[in-house]
Amino acid sequence: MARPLRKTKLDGTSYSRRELIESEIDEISTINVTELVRRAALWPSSATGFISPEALVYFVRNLPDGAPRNKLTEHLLRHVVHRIPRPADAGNQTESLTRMNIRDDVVDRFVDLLMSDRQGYDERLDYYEIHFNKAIATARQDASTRHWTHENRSDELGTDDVQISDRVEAAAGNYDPFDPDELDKKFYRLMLDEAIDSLPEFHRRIVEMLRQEMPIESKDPSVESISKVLGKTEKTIRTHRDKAFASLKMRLERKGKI
Amino acid sequence: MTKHLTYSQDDVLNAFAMDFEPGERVLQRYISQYPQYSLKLVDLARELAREFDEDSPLDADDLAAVNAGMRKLQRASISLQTLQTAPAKKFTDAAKKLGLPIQVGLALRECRIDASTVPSRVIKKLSQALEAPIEVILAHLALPPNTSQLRASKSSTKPAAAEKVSIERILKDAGYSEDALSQFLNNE
Repeated sequence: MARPLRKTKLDGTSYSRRELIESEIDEISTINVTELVRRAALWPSSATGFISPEALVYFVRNLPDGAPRNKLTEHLLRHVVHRIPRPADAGNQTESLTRMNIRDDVVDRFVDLLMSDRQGYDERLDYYEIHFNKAIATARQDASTRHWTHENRSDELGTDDVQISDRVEAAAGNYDPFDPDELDKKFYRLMLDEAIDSLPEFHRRIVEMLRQEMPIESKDPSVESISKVLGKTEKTIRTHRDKAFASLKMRLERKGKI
Repeated sequence: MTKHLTYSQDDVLNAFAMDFEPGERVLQRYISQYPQYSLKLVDLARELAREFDEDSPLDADDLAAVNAGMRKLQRASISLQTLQTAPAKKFTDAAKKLGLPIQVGLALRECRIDASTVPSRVIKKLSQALEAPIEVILAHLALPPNTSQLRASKSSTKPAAAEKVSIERILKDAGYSEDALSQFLNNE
């Protein structure tokens, strides 16, 4: 049985690993360390014997100091880097440099966590055993805030006096970037993400809230709406939604994805 | 509107990340409960929904980032071991360099100082004086406190269990006046 986690949820109850991860750890605990090191190197995730990053974090935390732990740590850092957008795929030099800084920052902070955990249990590392990809997403967001703020990318577009432009409305048409049929295709999702990245912050937020099925406006004050979160009128949000969708449509058309 | 104020932004964002499932209105629920973090939650939702092509191999640049991380980890581990086994003189010399009494050097070596009570500028200067990264100094201070056996055996009083104390207390015990203490703690 794997060592229990110590991090508690907001309601005071303890976090636990997913059942799948618990079973995986139990299974891996029965193999010898040479086999563990061999399997930790397996890639991609479809490879037989692949070890999930959550289980890898567990073993990196619990193995004694030595060559096997170092090898596992190296493979774990590869998992970290795999979950950071590539600097080489960025649209321009500034974005590429920022992505590089974000990647180095995420790796650096993850290493700091490992170091801290080796001196005494660091509960923050528990998140990586619960859901590695989600924990990395949080670290990525944290690093993005620091680096994009530094790059002054936070642009403010939303003003209440914008007039709905017929041209913008026509450009967006009935286009829905979250068409379920398109979203089924992994390549489309990758391209869509890239296109969303290129939008101004205000547009990105509108698009993300729509993706998470938040209404633009609600008569019910207890229901959170995009208009309420961004502090803009319904009309302004609709105009900028159309602009954002038109921009996404144009970018994806350019790449031949729609 | 002001409920749950005891939770830090990090607590809320991490909890949201762990609960997040696309399209299940988790974002709305968290925004409703923690409106003070609404924009941070939206931005995090964006990262949580991001798609990755994990099957593609890492390029040379990515591998260099992995190697840099490993080097940092190995360097820190060596430095911490070096610090743990360093003679008392290394610590008392470092304290002297900073114009601090010898007691601070000894308490530092024995991990008896509560790191949260040491001003960040002092940690930075200690890092330079001890030739170790700041994170190593902090990791050293986070170790359980201990008292030198030799000093304990020479002491005329019954040895007490080692405990972490504030740097303010060590300076007071070393004879710092209130004025000197205030200057030390507030001087930026």
